[in-house]
Amino acid sequence: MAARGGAAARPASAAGNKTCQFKLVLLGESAVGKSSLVLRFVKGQFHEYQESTIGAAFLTQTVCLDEATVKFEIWDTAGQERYHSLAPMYYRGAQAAIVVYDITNQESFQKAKNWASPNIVMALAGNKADMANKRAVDYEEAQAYAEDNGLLFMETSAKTSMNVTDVFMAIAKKLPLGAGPEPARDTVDPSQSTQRASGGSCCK
Amino acid sequence: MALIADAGLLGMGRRLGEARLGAVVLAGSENGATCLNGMPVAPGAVRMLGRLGRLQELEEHPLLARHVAIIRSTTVPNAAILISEHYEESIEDLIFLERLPESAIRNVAGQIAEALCHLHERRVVAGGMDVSHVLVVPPPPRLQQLQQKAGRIHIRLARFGLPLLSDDGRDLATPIGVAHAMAPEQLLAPPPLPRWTVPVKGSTSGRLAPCSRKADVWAAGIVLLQLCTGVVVSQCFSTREWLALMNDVIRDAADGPRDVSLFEGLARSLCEQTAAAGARLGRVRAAYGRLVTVAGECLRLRTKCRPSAPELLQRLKDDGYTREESDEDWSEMSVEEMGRIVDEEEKDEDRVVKSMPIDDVFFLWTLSGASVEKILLDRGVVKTKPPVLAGALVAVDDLQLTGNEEGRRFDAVITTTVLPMTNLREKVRSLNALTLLHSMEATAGRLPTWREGEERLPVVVKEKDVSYQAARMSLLAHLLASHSHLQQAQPALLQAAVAADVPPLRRAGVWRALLGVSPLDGDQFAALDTVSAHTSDRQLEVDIPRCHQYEEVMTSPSAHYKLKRLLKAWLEAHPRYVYWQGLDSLAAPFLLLNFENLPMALACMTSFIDRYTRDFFLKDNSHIIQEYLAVFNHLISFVDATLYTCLAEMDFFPELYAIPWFLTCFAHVLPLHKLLHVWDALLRAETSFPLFVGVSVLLQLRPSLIGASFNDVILLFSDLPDLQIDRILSDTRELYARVPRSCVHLAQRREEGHTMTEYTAAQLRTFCCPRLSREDLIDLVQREAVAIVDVRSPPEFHRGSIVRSVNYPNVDDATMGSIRTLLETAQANRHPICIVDVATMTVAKRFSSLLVSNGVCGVTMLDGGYDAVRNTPALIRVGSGI
Repeated sequence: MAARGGAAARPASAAGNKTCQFKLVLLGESAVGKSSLVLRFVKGQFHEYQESTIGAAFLTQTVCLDEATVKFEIWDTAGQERYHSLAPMYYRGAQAAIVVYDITNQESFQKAKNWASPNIVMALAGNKADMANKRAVDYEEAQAYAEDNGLLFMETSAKTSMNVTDVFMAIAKKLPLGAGPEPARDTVDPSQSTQRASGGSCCK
Repeated sequence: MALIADAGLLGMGRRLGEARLGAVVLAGSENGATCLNGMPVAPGAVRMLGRLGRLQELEEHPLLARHVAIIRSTTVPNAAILISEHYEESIEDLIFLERLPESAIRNVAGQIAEALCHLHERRVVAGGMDVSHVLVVPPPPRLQQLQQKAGRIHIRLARFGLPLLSDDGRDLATPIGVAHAMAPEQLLAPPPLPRWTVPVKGSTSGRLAPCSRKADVWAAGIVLLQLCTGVVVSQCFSTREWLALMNDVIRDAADGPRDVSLFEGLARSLCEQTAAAGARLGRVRAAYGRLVTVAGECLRLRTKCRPSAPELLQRLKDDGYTREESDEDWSEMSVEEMGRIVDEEEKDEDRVVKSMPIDDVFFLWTLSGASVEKILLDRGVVKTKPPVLAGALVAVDDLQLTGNEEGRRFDAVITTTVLPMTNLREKVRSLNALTLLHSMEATAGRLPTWREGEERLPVVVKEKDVSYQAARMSLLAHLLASHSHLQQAQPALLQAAVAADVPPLRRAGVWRALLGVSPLDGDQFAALDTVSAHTSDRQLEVDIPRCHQYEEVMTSPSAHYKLKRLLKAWLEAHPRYVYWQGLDSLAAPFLLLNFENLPMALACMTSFIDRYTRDFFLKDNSHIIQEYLAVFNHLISFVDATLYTCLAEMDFFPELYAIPWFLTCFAHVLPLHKLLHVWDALLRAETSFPLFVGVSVLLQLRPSLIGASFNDVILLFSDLPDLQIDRILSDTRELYARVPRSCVHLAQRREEGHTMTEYTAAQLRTFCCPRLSREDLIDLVQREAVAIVDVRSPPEFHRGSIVRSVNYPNVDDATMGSIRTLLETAQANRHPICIVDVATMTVAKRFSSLLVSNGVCGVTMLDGGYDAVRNTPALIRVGSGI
C-alpha cells in the first residue's frame, strides 16, 4: 500500500534529492519465484503457493539512495515462454532487469543464461536460497557466469527475504541517476535478445 | 403424493429413509516432510479429502452405508470428519440387549459376507470391521411387524474403506479399527510407533500392519464368534485383556496343525464370561453346525488357510443363506393395498425429508445452521487444549512449530456421533410439499414461481436458504432426469430454470446439460494416453501445485494427480492446441464438479473451450487474442465512451490487463466461489459473453479508473479488488441483452445470421467503435431503436438513403449542430447510433472517433457502408425524401 501511495504522490525532492523512475522487468523460468520476489520486496509478504502469472503483473516500489530516490516500476512477467510473444510491451523500454533462476533447478539456470541485453542494468538472482540442501546450481558457477557477463549477482530467498531488498538496491545504485526521471526510450528490447539467444549462441 | 420420492429415484443417490447422519473424527498423520519442490507435504487430513469419491462409487450396494462427505476440521489442526449414513442400532446393541435371535445369525453373517465380497471384488478392503460397524436398518414402520415375525434383520456395513481413504493408514495418526477386530498378523508385527501419534481412547496407538482382505475375513470371524456366543467382546475385555488373551491363544495354537483355528480358544474364554454364553453357543452349534465351522475357518491363524470372502459367502449360501431384497412385492399387491401404504406414508410428517437424497439432506443440514465441528466439540468427542497451552516453543517462519507437540495434540473418541436433525426436520416440515413437486406434463412445462422477489436476492443469500434450495434442487432433479426427453420438446426449459441461479448440488448436472455433453462423450477418455511423458509435463508440474490452492480439495494429492491427467488428456485429444499457463485454472472447475469422473470432466472442458475460448490455446494465438481484445476495446467504447477515452489517452490498452481474463474466462482472476456464479450465467449465453463480463468488471472499477494515472490503473488491475459478482452479473445480463450481436462479432468464430467484413486485428485497432451488421440494422430500424447518421455527401444521400437517417456530411463540425438532439435522445434511450458512410468508411472512422472522444456512447459504424444495404428495399428510400 505504501507503494501505491508513493505512486500517486511522487515524493518531493527533499533536500535536493531527486526522484528517478525506472522500469524494471523480472525474467526467468516458470516457478522460480519471480512474483514471490516482487511480493516480498513491495509488500513484505510471502505466499507458499503463489499463483502463476499470466501475461504480467505490475507493481511499484521506491527505494532511497543517498543521492536520489529511485522509484521502480516493476513488471513481473509470465514465466512460460509462450507468453513472451503475446505481449512484448511489458519488456519494451525497460532500463533494468532481474533474471531469476531457482538454485534447486539447473535447467532454470540454463534458461536464465538466455536472457541478456548489453544496454540495461541486469542482475542475476538465484532464488530459493533457503533450500540450499537441495541445491543444484553452484554459487561459484553462477557468480562466475555473472562476472563474465557483467551482471550483478546475488542468491536470494523470497521466503526468508534474504537479499531481496539488497538486489533491488544494488540495481538502483548502478542505474544512471543523472539521466533524470524521464525513461530513456532507446533501450534494447530484451525480448528480442532472447529470440536471438534461442537461435543458438548466447548474446552477451 | 408418493411423487415426492422421485428425487431419490432420479439417480441422485440413496434416499435418507430411516437413516441418520453420523460423524467420525479422523486424526491425520503429519511428519513435517517436504516435497521435492520444497513445499510441505499435504497433511494427512488433506490427503484424505480427495479420496472419498472412490468409495462413494461403491456405495450403490444395498449392504453398504453411504459415505456422504469428508470435511477438514478448521478448529483442530489436521483432522478430518467423515460424514456417513448411520443407523441408531448396530448388531452390537442387538447382541448386548439379547435381541438377536439365533435364527437370524446366518442371515446376518451372509449379509456381512456379501458386503465384503462386493468390496473385495472392487479391490477395496473394509478395514477394522467390528460389530458396532454392522448397522441395523430399521424397516419402515408398516413393515416392522412383518419383519420381526420373519426374524429378518437388514444390515448395512458402515465405516468401511478407511484403508483406501487413508492410504493404508499412512495418513491416519491412529490405527484403523479397534484392537478386538485385528487379526493376529496385524497384532504380531506392528512397525515402530511414530513419534507424532495422537493418543486415542479405546484403541492401541500407532500404525499397525496394513489391513488386508484376509484380515477382513478374520474380523468377520470375530463378528460371527460374538453372534454365536452372544458376548460383545468390547464390553467384556479391555484392549489390554484382549491382547493378553490373543497372546495366550496364539501361543497355544502355535504347535497345532497348519490350519489351526483360534475359534475354540477364544470361544472358551468368551463362554467363561457368562453362563448364558456357553448355553447359547451350544444351542447354535447344535442348530447351525455349518455356521460355527465357517466361523472357525475365518479365525484360522494362518492367513492362507482362511477362506476368501467369496468362499465365505458360498459356504453360507450352501448352508441355506439367501438375501431377500425387500419384504414387499409391489407386483403382487392389490391396488387397495398400495393405496393403504401410500395413505400410511402420507401420515408420516417427515416423509419429505425421508424421501430426499441423503447427500441433499446433509447439504441442507449444513445450511440450517449446524456445524459438525461445533457439535463434536460441545459433546466432548473432540477435546483440544486451550490455545495458551498449545503454543510451540520455537516457531520457524510461519510454518514450522517445534516443542510442546503434546500441547497441540487433541483427544478424540473414535465413535460415530449422530448429528441432530431436529432443526432440519422442522424446517422441511414447514415447507409446502407442493413446492417440491413438479410435474412438467401437468403444468405444460411452466416453471414454478417463487416467492415474490426471492429469485432476485443475491446468489449467496439464496444458496444459504434451506427452503429455496430444497425446492430448487427438487425441480432441477426432475429437469435433469428428463433432460434428454425435454430437450426435444422444450429446449429452453432448463435454460429458463437456471436463469436465476444454479443449486450447488445440481451444478455438475446442469453444466453438463448446458454444455450439451452426453454420457457417451466421455468414451474417448479411455483411448487417451494420460501417463506417458508429454512436452508440457514440466510446466504442469510447477503449475498444478499452485492452482486454486485456497480451495481445500485442490490441495489434496489426488486432486493434483487428477488435474494432471485431465490436462494431459485434453492436450492429447487436441493435438493442435498447446498448454498455456492458465489452462490449469480453467480446468479446475470441471475437475471439482466431476471429481470421480474424469471422462466427463474432459468432455465438459472440451465443449466449454470450443464454445468460449476457441483457438486461444493454439501455439500461435496472437492474432486470435489480438482480435478478441480489439473487439473488447470497441465494446468498451460502445458502452462507456468516457471510460474508453480516458483509458485510451493514457495508452492503457486491454493487452495490458485483459489477457488472463479472456484466456481463462476469468478462471485465473476470480476465486472459485465467484467464478462458479459467473460461469453459471456464462453457460446459458453465447460465445461473446466473456466480453460483456469484462466490460462489467471495468464498470465496477470505473470510479478508480477515471482520472487516475497509468501506474494507479495498472496497479489496480495487477491486484484486483474484491468484485461484487451479483452486480457484475446483472450489468453483464443487461449489456448482453442490449448490445447488438454484430458489435461483438469475432471473425474467428463465425456466427450465423451476420454478414460482416473480416478485418485483421491490426485493421480493427484503427476503429474506435464497433461495427453494426446489415441484419442488426434492419432489426433495429424495425424496432425504431437506432439513430442513423449518414455522413456521405448530400448528393449521394439524396440519391438514396436509409429510412429515418439524418445526413450530417460536415463531420469536422464538432458542434453537432443539427444532430445534437438526435444523439442525446438516442443515448437517453440507450439506442445505438449507426454511422453510415461509403464502403471505405474513412469518414465514418473519423466521425466515430470524434463522437467517442466527446463521450457519446453507443456509437457504431454500418459494416460495409451504404453499399451493404443498397439492395434492401425495406430499408431504403430513394430520391430526396426530405
